[in-house]
Amino acid sequence: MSPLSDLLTDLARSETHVAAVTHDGPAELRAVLTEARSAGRRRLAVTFTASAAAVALAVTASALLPEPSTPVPAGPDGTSSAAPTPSPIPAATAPGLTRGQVAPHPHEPSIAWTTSSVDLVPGSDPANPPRIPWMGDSPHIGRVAFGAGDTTALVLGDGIGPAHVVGVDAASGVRRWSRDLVEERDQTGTHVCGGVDSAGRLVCVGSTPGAGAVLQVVDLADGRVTREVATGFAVYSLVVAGDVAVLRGFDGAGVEQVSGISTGTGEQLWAEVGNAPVTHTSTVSVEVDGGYALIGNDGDPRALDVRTGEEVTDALGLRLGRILDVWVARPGTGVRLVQDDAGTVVVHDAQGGAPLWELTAGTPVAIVPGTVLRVNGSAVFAHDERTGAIRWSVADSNGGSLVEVVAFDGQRVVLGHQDTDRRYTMLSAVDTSTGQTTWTLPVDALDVVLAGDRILLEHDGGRLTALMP
Amino acid sequence: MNRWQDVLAEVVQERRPALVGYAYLFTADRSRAEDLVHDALVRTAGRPRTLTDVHTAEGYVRQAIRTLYLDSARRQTSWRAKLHLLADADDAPSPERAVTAGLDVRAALADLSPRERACVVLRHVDDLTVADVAAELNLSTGAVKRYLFDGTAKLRTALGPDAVDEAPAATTSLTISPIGRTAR
Repeated sequence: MSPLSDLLTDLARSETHVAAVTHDGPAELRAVLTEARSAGRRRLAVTFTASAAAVALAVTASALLPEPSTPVPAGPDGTSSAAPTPSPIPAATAPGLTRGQVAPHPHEPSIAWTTSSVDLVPGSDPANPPRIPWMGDSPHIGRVAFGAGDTTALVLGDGIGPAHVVGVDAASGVRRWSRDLVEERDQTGTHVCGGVDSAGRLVCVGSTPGAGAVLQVVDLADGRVTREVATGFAVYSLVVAGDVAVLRGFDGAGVEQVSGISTGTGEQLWAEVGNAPVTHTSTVSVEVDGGYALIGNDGDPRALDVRTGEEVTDALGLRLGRILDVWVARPGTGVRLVQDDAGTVVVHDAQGGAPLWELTAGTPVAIVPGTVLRVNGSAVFAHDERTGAIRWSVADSNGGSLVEVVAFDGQRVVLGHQDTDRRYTMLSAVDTSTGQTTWTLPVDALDVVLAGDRILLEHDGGRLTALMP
Repeated sequence: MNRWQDVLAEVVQERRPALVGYAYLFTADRSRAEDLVHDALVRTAGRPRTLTDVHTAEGYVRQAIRTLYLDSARRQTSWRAKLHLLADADDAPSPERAVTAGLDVRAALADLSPRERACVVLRHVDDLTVADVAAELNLSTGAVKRYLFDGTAKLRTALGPDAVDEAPAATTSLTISPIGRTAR
C-alpha cells in the first residue's frame, strides 16, 4: 500500500471504532426495513408540456426513428460457438457516432491546428488558463467535447469562474461562438450539454425565465438556441441517442422524472414519473447502450427503450447493474461485459444474454466489432468476442508505462501511451484484425479528448491541438 | 425472516461501523457519514435480490455509498453550496480524532472537492484502477486522472510529500513492441 492508502485506511479504521461505540444495530435494522418497504415506483402517462418557444409536431415516435437494424455478426475471425439468439428487443435506433469512434486514421495524423484556451475564452487569465475536460460544478456528469460538420465544441473552465461551451471551426481552430454555462439551476442560461443528435445539433439543458428547466437544441455552427422545450422538472442527467434526448431529474417535490424528447420536433415521446419524493436516495445517471437508456448506476439500474420509454430490463436477460461501462463500437449487437457476484467479468451475447466466456485478468476497456479489448498494465490484449481467444496483444517492452484505448476508427484502435506521471507520450494505432501497429505519433499531452470524430490533445498552459487524419 | 433479511441483519449488525468508516472518507463528516450509510442500506434493502450473502451485500452497500455521495454532490446547486454541506472544514476536532504522525488527514481530506475525494478514495483505498474509477463514477479516464492529480497535489501540500508519495519509479523509455500471434 502507498503511504496515502495507509493514512486513509487508518482514518477509516478510526471512524469505524467510533461508530461501533454508538452503534444500535436492532434500531437501525428496523428503520432500514421500514424505509425500504415504502420505496416504490409506478409509471404514469404524462401530458406533454412545452414552452412557448417549443415547436411540437404531431409525429409519432415510430416515424421519428429508423427501423431497427439487423444485428451485426461477430468479426471474421470469431468462431461463434454460441450463435446469437434473435432478440425481441430492437437494436440501436439511430447509430450516429458511437462513443470513442473517430474518423478513419489510416496514417499518422497531422496537426490540424493549435490554439490556446485563453484565446477561446475572452477575458480568461493566462496564469490560470481554462482546461478540458471540465464540467464546472455542474450537477451532471456530461461530455466535454462535441463535434459535427465543420464545428467542434469544447467545454472550457478555469475552476473559478463559469465554464463555457465554445464552438470552434474544426478546420482552423478559430473561435466561432461561445455560451457561458450557468451553475444555478434557476439561473437563466445553459447548464450543460449532453451530446450531438443525428442531425448534428448540440443538445443541452438550461433554464428560461418563463418555462423554467428546458431542453435546448443548439445550432452547432453558430451557437444559436433553435428550440427550447420545457421539461417540467430540474434535469440532472442528459444523454442523446439518435434524435432522442433522454432526461432524468426531480420535480419540485423531489419526485423522480425520466422523459424522452425528440430533438427534431420537440415532442415529448414518453415520460416516467416516480410515485414518491426521493430524499437523497437516487442515482441520477443515464447511459445509452444501443437503443436502451440505462437509468441509474447503483447496482440495479433499469433499461428503457429510448423510443418508447418501455422498460426492457427483464427482456435483456442480464443484471444491468453488473454491465461494465466500456466503449462499444456497435452497441447492442455483439457482446456485453457483465461482472458476476464473484467479481469475474463474464462476456455475454448482447442479443440473447447467454454467457460466452470469462475474462480472468486485466481491465476490459472496449468492444469493437468482433473483439473485446483488455488492458493489463502496459499491455493491450484483443480477445475474440465469441470465444475469448487472444488474437493479438501490444505491449510496452519496458513495462514502465500505462496504455489506454482512446479511440476506434472503424478498423484501428488508437492507443494512448503514458509515462509514470500519466502524461501522454505517444499515440499509436493498432489494426484490430491483425494486431499490427500501423502508426505511432510522439506527443506530450495532459489529456486526449475526442470531439466528434476528431482527436484533440490538451497540453500544459491551456494549449490545445487538434489532429486530423 | 427471509434469507435476504438475515443477510441484511448481519450487514447492519456486523458491518455498519466499518461502512461508516468508509463513508467518512467521502463525507469528511461523521454524522453525514452515518446518514449516508443509512440511505445506502435502505437503497440496498429495497432490492432484496441483491442480498444473497453478506460479502455481496456489503459490496452493494459500498457501491450505494459512493453513488449516493456523488448524487448528493450533484444535486447541490453550486460548488459553494456543496462545500459547507459536504466538507465541514470548520468542524472542531473531537477528542477521539487520531492524527497520524502529527498530520491532520481529516482537514486535508475535507479540503478536497467531492469528486477529488471520491477519486482519491476509490483509487487509494479501494485500490481500483483509473479505468475502474472512471467506470464507477461515470467519468472519463482523463477526468479521473485530473481529479486524482489535483486531489493528490492538495494532499501533498497539506500533509507533505512523504505522507503521499511512493518512492519514485525509474523512468523508462517507451517503445512499441507487439507480442502475441501477430508480432509486428
